[in-house]
Amino acid sequence: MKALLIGVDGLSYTSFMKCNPRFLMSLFGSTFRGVVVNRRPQTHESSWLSVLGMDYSGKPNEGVPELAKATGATLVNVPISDPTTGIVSLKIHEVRLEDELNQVTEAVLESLNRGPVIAGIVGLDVELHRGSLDKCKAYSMVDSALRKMVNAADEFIVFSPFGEPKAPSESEHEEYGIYLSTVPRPSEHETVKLPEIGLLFRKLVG
Amino acid sequence: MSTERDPELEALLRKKIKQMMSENRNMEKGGEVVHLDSENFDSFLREHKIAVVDFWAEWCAPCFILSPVIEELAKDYPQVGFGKVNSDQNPQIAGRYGVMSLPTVIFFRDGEPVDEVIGAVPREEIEIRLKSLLGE
Repeated sequence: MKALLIGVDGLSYTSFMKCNPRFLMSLFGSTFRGVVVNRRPQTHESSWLSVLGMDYSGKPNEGVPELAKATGATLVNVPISDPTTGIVSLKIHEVRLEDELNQVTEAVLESLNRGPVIAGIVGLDVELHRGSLDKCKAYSMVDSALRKMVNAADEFIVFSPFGEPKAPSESEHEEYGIYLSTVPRPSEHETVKLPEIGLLFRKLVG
Repeated sequence: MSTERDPELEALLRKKIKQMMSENRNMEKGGEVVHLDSENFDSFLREHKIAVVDFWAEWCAPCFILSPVIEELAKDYPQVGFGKVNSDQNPQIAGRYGVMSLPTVIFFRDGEPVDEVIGAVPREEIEIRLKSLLGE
């Protein structure tokens, strides 16, 4: 079974109506969905460490995340360190969304043939903070890359650990992210907590 | 005149002052979506001939899709009161209007519900009802 956990930092339901990302909208209408809650301050590292079942120490992260060990997943561009961790490793502040999406998509499509994959995209959040890219254009690029990756997987979780930037500060975002998945959640009338995402992926891989 | 303290009168005054402050806050927020609860819901409806209230919850993904539409309309129609009620935190308000699914947007005229829209709908679906209420 090809299982994919992919997180796109900064992706938010609040731009779905305006930008109409077609693939994400179709997932929204056809998969299990939820709202990820993550109170401020939110950083790439602290948020992803929670997903991967690790504590945030504030020190450079070392070692293989628990979730990757438990599932045997290949890591691709996971922002628990800077540069990111995995077979694609990029300097977070230098990321350009288009390049990142190309590299991550290629690595994910290759890696899914070998087993589960955990992948991250930080470029949307970085470029929205920079103000260097039109938001709906960025959503369209993300949407198109997700279509390729998700269609190559049998089971998936697409999530964002937090929403769009709310201030110039890199740790201030909307407190709500997205969750779209083939995995049902036990209590759909509750928000999705970050560690729950890791547990759901573990369950999905089996 | 007696100078003795009257606890009952003081309590009434405190309540009145709180109500006036709440009304004042609501009036200052033209163009914004006001967060409503049992403290300010009734006064909000009293103060706005036409009001639009969005019932939502934290776990409700479509509510987040709809939310920017409501915010945009609030800016474009400052003469209308726009509010939002967290249904989980204010079940008594949601229950009063029979809100069974989220998001639900209820339109009020003179404090009475006159129309509603359920689900994350495009701006036009809400705006057409709003214009009709405003007689445009």
